[in-house]
Amino acid sequence: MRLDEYLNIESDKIVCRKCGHVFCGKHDNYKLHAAEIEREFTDVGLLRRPQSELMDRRIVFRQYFCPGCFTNIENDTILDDAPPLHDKQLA
Amino acid sequence: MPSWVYGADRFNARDKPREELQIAPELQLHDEVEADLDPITYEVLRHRIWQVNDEQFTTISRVSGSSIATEINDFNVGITDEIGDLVTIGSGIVWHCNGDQCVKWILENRSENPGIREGDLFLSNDPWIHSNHQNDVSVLQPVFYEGKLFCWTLATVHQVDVGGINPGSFCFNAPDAFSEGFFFSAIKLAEGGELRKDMEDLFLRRSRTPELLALDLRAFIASANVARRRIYEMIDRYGAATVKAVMRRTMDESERLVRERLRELPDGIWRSEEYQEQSGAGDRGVYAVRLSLEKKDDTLIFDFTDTDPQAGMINSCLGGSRGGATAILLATLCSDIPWAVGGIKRALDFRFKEGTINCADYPAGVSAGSISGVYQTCNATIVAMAKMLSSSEKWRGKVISGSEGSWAVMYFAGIDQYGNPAVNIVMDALAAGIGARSFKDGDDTGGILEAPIGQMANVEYYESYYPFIYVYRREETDSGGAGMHRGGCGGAIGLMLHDTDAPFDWQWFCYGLAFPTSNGLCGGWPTRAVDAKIARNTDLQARLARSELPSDISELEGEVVPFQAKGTYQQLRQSGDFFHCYYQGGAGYGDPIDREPERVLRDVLNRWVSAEFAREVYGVVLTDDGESVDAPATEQRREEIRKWRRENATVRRPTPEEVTV
Repeated sequence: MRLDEYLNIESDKIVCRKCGHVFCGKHDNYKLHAAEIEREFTDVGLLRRPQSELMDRRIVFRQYFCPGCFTNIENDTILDDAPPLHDKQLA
Repeated sequence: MPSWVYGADRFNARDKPREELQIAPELQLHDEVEADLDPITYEVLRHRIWQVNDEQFTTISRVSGSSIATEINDFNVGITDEIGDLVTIGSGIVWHCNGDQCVKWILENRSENPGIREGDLFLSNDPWIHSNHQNDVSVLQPVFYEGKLFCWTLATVHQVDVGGINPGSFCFNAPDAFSEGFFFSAIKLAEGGELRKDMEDLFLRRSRTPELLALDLRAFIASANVARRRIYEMIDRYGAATVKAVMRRTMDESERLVRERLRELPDGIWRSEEYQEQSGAGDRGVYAVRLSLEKKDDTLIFDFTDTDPQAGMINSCLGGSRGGATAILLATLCSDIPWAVGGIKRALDFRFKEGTINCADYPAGVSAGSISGVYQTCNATIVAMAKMLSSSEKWRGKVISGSEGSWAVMYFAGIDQYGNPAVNIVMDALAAGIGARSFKDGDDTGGILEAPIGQMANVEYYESYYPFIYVYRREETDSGGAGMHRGGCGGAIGLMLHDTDAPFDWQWFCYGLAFPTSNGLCGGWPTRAVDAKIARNTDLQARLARSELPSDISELEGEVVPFQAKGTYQQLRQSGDFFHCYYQGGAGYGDPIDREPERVLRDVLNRWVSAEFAREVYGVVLTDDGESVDAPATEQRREEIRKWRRENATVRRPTPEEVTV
């Protein structure tokens, strides 16, 4: 069963559609089991002035990868102290 | 929570089912329905109602002299049944589909005193009743047939200025709604077919641009007259009960179609969290709209109750936010279902928390509600909706990644080249980029999802009436979110003060200046964050004299001053002073290193993507002449990217509390 472009649900587990890597149970937050890199928007060319000129908190570009094939499966624009958003949860 | 202002909660309009409406008994509703409606008549009349709706729209555009209506299409129209449920809505700004709340409020609060009668028009721009912000003024017409209220026609047009402490009425210095533009809570603008002069004066007197509002007022009336006449023609030919049966069936059919589609999607919950920086002048906070979108069998629950508390002037009220979420649903899941919102909404359950950014309590500041609270609600809905659709093999083709993440507002005020006072708005951000689809790239400068026929005005319009010229209006390189399918590029404009040395104020505000707000899907990247600045004492006049046409503000010499997201005016002081704004594109879909290299090459050749971005993000290396893909170098570069990911990524692992049981 499809969860999204890169993830399937097979035998109640979330798995990578490309390499078959098993992330977690189907109701769990796959992002907690993904490989993760956090980057500044200024470092990836998506922001041209320091964030600190505009706000006190920090919002980052958080990327999630399949730990098996390192496909970029999802990204979050998120407060740096926020946990990964559990964004996809099939019943 | 209840407002601290005595009696304010009476104005908190809510959509209600027919059986809960409390209407004065002297107002008789037409509810006779032809039981034996044949399918041919249904099809003919269903399309005829659409045509009436189109004519409503066109009439406003042709009668008004305001650029918002004649050039930009920042307005919309609708036709409802006798209790306000929408049978059809136009293709202008779709979030105005919240007019049902206003009709129901009028029915409950105006049917006894002053009464609702044939020939009446009601004017309303009260955000707590339905409006997105004070600038969005609606005129609602009850249409009677043989003494009974048969239906309503609605129109909403953004007004250039409705007062308040800032020209343009986006009042980022306002502590609350008492310092913002005026708003009226469904007042009777016309009676017995006559415009009430006292009400017209009341409406125009509070604006800095009464001449434009007066034009729009006449456009409202013309549109209402045309719609009423066409509805009578239908009734005269087919009978009131038959036309009403078509209205009912149109809504029932759209409800059936959307429920059928929902049943084909898997049950589940999809979440999104969308941010905005700065709630007003001098603020440095960050504010989130949070959506938990739950699909259960054939219903869709929009739960926004975890959204941040209201702040500053960026809030919206329930009507606007509900309209925003509905607009995205119409543009995505329901793009091929008739937009009979009165039927579609029966499958929807909206949950907001009072006192939050997108369900503000009176008298919170709401003057930027349309491009703030409502827009954030739209953004949250686009992303959650896309994630839901992505889970379906059958319906994943309807996925649209985050689109045009914010609406950059550009107001100007000053003395024009003819010596006259001038206040107006540049709406070029209506040509923002659309997010990538699951099967194709997003549309470059394709527009705004919530405004299917919104458009930027002709350059010549602005240059004729106002003292500036466009030095550039172009698509912005590297502004489309990277991905297997690329997001549509946003655009940039550069305007030079011209033919005057009188000071000209520019008021610019937006969000998405400190971080991008068009968010990608399944590894797709967001777009680049917005940018706006002015340059004074430039060398632009000298460059133009040498026939040099700059394509970016960075090429100019002079004093460059960037805008904050909210609360800064900048002044252009002499001919040659310059204003620049880049507005966001759409986000990407899928991992950028899964994009076909030849498509990246095409993007580079068309300047949608730079060669540097192609190499760094897409892992595509071009040959030395830049004309083709260097296949071995590309394969090597993409392997380097995978290796970099492998070496730099960590796995977080859930805490025991984060494990779902």
